[in-house]
Amino acid sequence: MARGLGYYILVRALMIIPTILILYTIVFILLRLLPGDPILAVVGTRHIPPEQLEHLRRIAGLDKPPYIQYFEYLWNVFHGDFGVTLAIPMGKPVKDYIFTRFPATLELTIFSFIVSVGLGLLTGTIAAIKRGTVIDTGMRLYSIIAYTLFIPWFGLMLQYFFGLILGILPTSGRLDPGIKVESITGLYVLDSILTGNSRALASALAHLVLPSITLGIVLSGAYTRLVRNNLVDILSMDFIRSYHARGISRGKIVWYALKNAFIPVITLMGLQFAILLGGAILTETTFSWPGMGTFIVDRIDYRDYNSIQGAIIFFAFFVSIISLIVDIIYALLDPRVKY
Amino acid sequence: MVLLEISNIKIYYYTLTGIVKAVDNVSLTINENEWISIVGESGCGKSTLAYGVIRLIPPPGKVVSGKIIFQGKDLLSMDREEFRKMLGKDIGMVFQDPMTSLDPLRKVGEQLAEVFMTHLKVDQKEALKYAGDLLEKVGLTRDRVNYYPHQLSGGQRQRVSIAIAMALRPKLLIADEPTTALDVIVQDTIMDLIESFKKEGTSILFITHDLALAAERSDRIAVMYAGKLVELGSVDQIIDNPRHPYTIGLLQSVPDLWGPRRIESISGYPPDLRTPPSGCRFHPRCKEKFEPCSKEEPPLIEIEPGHYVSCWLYVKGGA
Amino acid sequence: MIPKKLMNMLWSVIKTYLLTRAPGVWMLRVGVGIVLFFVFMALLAPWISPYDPTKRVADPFLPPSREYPMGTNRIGQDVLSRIIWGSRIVLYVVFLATALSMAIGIPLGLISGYYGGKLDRVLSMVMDSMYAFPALILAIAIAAVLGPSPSNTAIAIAFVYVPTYFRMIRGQTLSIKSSLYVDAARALGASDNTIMSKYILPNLAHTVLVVFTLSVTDAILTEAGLSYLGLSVTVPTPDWGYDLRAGQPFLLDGKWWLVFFPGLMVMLLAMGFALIGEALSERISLAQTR
Repeated sequence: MARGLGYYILVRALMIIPTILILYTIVFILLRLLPGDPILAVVGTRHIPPEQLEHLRRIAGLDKPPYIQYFEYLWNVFHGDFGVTLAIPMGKPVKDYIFTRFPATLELTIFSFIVSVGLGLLTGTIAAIKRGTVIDTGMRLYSIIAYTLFIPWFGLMLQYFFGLILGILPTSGRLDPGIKVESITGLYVLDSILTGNSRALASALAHLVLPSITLGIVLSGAYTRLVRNNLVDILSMDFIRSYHARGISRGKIVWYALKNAFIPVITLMGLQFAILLGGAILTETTFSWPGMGTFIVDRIDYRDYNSIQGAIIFFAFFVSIISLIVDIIYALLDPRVKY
Repeated sequence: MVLLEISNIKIYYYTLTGIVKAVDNVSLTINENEWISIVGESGCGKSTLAYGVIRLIPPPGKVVSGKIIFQGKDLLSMDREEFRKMLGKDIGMVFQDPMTSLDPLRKVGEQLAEVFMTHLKVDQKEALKYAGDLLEKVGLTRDRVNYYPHQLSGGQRQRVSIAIAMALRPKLLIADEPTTALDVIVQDTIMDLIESFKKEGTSILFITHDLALAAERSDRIAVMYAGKLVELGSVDQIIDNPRHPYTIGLLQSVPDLWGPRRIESISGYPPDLRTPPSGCRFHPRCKEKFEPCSKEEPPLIEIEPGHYVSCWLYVKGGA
Repeated sequence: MIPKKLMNMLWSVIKTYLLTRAPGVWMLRVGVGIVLFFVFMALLAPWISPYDPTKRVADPFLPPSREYPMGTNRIGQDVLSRIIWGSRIVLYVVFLATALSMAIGIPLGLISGYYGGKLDRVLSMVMDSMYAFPALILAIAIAAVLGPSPSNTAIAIAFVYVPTYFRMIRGQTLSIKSSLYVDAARALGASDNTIMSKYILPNLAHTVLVVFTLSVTDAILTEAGLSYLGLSVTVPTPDWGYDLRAGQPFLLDGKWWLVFFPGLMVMLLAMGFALIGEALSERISLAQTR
């Protein structure tokens, strides 16, 4: 059966390409072709000599006609070149920023993912098992409250409570000032484990607590519904009754039911991840987390469309890879998928 | 010789829109080595009764009162762990929909072996061997042990379900409409399979809406309507000498292979069990109804040995 | 002609849900109550707002008191007044955005699902790509380019939610299209237009209502997010997200009311719609399992 797996992956991988191209085209059209000269937007009202303007135009690739820009930029992206910054600091490759900032976002996303999936599975399962009771309604209320939380508000309230009033958790940044970690992967938790740096580990984890809880809880809301509805469907299927009639213990039955419910839930994890990235922007801004989110927001203030474009293209790529991985995991887990 | 004794069982569902009296004071006995079918239309309570026996009534439902005694043991008040050990070993059940009655994520052999490992002290290797034997016994080839349910046809899946239910040779097999989702030819082979187990000593509690199917193989037939037992007797008694107007109606609504006959349908609809009709629940649709029918529920009367009817027509002093 | 029929349909759907006794109705009533509360707040703003939200009326950073129930901000503006007037912006943006999304997404979904073929394939691929991408990021890109103004924010949000409506409508259209009663109608000679308007459209009403409420919930949070990032309104227009951001630097100094009230409002408004959506979808699933 594994013979076809490579082929399956290949087909799925090829299907990402149109998606990325479409997103790229949309972003390109938005950022390049809309009215207004991006260079002038960056420059603002400052008086700049024309040669400098020309220089800016050239490094941004804007001196060429649009269709050439389209393909040239695409070509560059495939070689890892995401353009250069147009505003302060000028002329730096965007990919350098991606390199340093993306791991921060990734680390936040991973921990938030764990929180949201954990909470979602827990509350969703309880709601499904106790279906129709007050507990079920309670869990569904939790779900609604969780996903209507405004991330900056929730994050700031947590900061106020845990940072100011209780004073036990840090409220911004990734590490305490003065603590350094050798950056291997850029994921500070991993790096500090790999280098045996326990102080950094403690600091990194402490800084991750509030942001991941914020983002994790907000995202768990949608997850609860998913898990609950899927599990309710599964629990009403005959094979659950059949298990009971076979004398299988309740605990095992719940486990089997979860495994079945888990599968459709996994495919939506890919979507979850995309939503997580969106939510990460707000979370990063709230906690002054030095990731891609704050990068994009900073660049917006400077009207540096080039950088924004590079960052978004990168995101598009990343999101597509995630959904590919999710597809593959799904195929491996569900014996009904043919390959 | 009595295997299962159901006495005055009441199973109600306490929903937000009212109490659904799904099974209302039903009594039934099942003997060793007999095939008894419960016949009735959808919603009459026959499946609910079966689920009551295996203690699988989902909330908001409850077994309100009554007793279910199996081999001298009270099933309803039994400790849950003890009961769980009985299920699959002394009582087996087969369900209606072959598409969903097997766990889609696990191989067939694994699910079968699990039954052995749960109830007997065997390791997986031995259990899988038994599983293979059992698959052959139900008419499948041994290699199916490694198949997933979706790789089998409906009939094959149902055979697997039967194998799982019969794995430890239970004394009682409950079959809830096992052939409804299958085509007629496959249906016959499944019925043969179940009958073969009966011949080896298992009692069959067969639930169906198909009176003709019940008549094929049963020793006795019980007819249910709107949560009540309306007629009970041997298959000959029911088919040749039906007494309850509902039973008669059922028999008349099926074409006769042996000659032309007018087909009569039963007018009206089954009642809402939250607000069942007063008195005899069938009276709104009954052609023979008369004075007492809407006032009081008729008692269950034995009109000939082993043949019971719940109808005012047959109560002494009535009609 | 068609809009009127739609109105009637939606009204009968709403009536069934609102006025019957059924499980989950309390959620519906609370949700509707909250939404109506904010709608009235927005409509009656000029009369119920105690002060002019753009004018300095007192010393800055006053904590909540009887005179200023929600305190004053950095400039000395009354937070309560800004909250009340802010509801106008939020509701304006969200409803405009949703109306635009629906106006584009629903017909496209209907046509694409009904006629199928190349058009459908291309549209689906484009919509799926957009759908899988984080909404906020796309909205940020659009809003950044267009410039900060509530209308532009509305356009940005509309753009991002078109795929949601498209997919939902297209899916429903596909399943209804292949159902037996449509086949029967076609056999009797019904034209494409008749089929679409008489059979498919009415059955969509329920789905549209649920998707509508849930996407409005999202849109509120997205608007607040964009406003928070400075992409919606400009000073001195009051908007909840923006005000929250303005108050953020002073939170850890103890001035909690600058952040607390705007954010709370966002959440309550979103929750109102979410409760409605939850109650409706529960009702639908209950009806389906009957």
